[in-house]
Amino acid sequence: MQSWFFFVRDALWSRLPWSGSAEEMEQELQSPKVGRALLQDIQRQIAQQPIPQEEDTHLYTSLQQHLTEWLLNPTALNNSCVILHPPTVQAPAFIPDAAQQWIAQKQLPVKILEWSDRPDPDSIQPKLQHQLGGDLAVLQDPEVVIIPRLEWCFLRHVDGLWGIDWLCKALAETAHRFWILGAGEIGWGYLAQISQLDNYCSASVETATLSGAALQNWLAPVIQAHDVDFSDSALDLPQAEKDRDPGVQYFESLARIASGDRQVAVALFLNSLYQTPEDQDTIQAQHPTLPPLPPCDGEDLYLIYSLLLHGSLRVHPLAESLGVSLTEVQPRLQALHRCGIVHRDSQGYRVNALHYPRLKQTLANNNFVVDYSCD
Amino acid sequence: MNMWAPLLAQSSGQAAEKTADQAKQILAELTTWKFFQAVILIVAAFLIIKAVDKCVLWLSEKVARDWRLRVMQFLPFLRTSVLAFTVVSLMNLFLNLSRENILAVTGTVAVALGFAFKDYASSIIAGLVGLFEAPYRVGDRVQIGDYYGEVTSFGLRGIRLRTPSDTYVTIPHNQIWNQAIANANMGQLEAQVVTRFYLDHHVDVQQVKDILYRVAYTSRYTHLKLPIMVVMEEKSWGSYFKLKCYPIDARDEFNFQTDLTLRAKAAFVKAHIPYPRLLDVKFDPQRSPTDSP
Repeated sequence: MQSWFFFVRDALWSRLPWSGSAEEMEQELQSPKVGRALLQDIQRQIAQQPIPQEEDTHLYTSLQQHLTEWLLNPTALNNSCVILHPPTVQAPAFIPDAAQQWIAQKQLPVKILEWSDRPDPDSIQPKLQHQLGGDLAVLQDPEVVIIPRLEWCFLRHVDGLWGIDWLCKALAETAHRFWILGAGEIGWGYLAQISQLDNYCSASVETATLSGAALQNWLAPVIQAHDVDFSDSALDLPQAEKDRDPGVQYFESLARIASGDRQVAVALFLNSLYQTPEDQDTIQAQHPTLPPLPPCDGEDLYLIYSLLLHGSLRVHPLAESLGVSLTEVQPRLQALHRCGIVHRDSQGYRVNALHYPRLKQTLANNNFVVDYSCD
Repeated sequence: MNMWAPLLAQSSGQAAEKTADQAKQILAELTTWKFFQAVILIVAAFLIIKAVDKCVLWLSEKVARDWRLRVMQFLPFLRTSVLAFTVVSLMNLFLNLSRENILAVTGTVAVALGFAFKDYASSIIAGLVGLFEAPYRVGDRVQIGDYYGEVTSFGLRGIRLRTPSDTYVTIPHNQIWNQAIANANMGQLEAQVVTRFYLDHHVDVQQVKDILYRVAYTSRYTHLKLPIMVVMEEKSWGSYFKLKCYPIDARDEFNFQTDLTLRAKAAFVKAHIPYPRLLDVKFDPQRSPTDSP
């Protein structure tokens, strides 16, 4: 009942124009509530954390099941599995250690597409063919092929989809090869719509949604190392709720607001930390909330959707994917960067996970295809 | 003749008195205060309509796109409500609205309108019919006569269209009685866009179709959940292709068309796809008019 209420409330609210101003967002970004060095230290520690057990087990179980089915009866109808993740994930799709050991036990050779960067649209197909191809029809020995970032195998451009055409053909023709693809959910939805790639791929696995307890366990080492205090996060709760452990309540709220998405949960967790000027030694957490979206016009939404399709993009391929010139893209990108909707990393520009839930809802409300589901 | 003159004079005097009495019965007492109230009412109605226009249009631009047209639909209803309230209040102020008086006033007004403001009355009635029949709504993209554009406002007498050249055209509602109205989106956010391509007879048709589909699938404006279609026809001067697809937002119609044309042209050049050479087309006076692009 409560989740239904939140769903209706959020759906209604998302259609109304209440959003923060660009200046407010900029101000918030420029003045983090904990010291910048401390925040970077916490971010680094979180990045070093192993994958949550729940995610690991979920992936291992699914992959083992699909691989076993294929090994028993290798056909082009059961030779692939796509691991879907939110497009804000920086690291590529991973294969759990247990699954790798299992593949090694079965003495299956593994071929991984190891690209350090996104290739030019014209060179995607030749590169794929060179590294994974050969004569697909004569392959007889079973092997596992892993494409960790499917987003790098296409660009939304007239010449940017030949790699996907080749992949569709390869999936349909190679019964003795098991393909494991890692893809962002929005990019996968796009490819499913335009080239029916989902029909070529026999199985799909979404990364597990994490519960409050799972998030709390996963972040426990970081919380203990920095002695994060959650007592303030329960201040606004009703009296009946105040008797419960504030930490448990905090992570339940965090999981609910982030819809179990680990990247969003981490972004919300970091955003909720603060220090008071009087006590610089203690880190406190306030109740996690999604920040309001800065106002985005239609052209901003096209740009954001393009980034979400491809995970991350540098300016030039972004302009190509939008079909506009660099001079049109750059100022818009700067404005979005300044108000924190996108951020820049070693692979280019990427949408900030903190804004992803609201942006996804906004895009859905504005006719963009964002709702690919495994079901 | 002279004998009837006093009688006629008496009769016309009585008729004039009777008319004056009726007018007195219908008209309420006219005072400066009432005129002042009427002015206040008219000014208030004008300001409220302007405020309603601004608020509804502002809100429609701020909410999610799929709610934009729904919000815009409130505009004609709100305007009509304000106008109806103002007219009734003014009548109440200046007329004694008994049952008989209402009948007399409506009869008189109907006759007056019938002669003097026939088209105006026809437009107002057509507007009221249009509110419920909805051949066009605010936000729709319509073709009426020679004019095509987005309906930006729905007034008492007519609508206002914004054409692609950013010109506003006012069209009275009474056009709906006898004019064909082509509505591209009928209250929906999407409207099909047809982009035309003219190529040589010798092109590889499958290659052209593949390019056009890819151009549509990779445009940032394309609504991917709605059908995309390439239609081809052979003409005397060359091969005629039509790419039919929907933009995410009907407002982007012309940007979408330009984007598709630009990127398709670039792809045609890259694939060495020739255009028809008009100099090769021999003049044929018997040529069917449908052969023209």
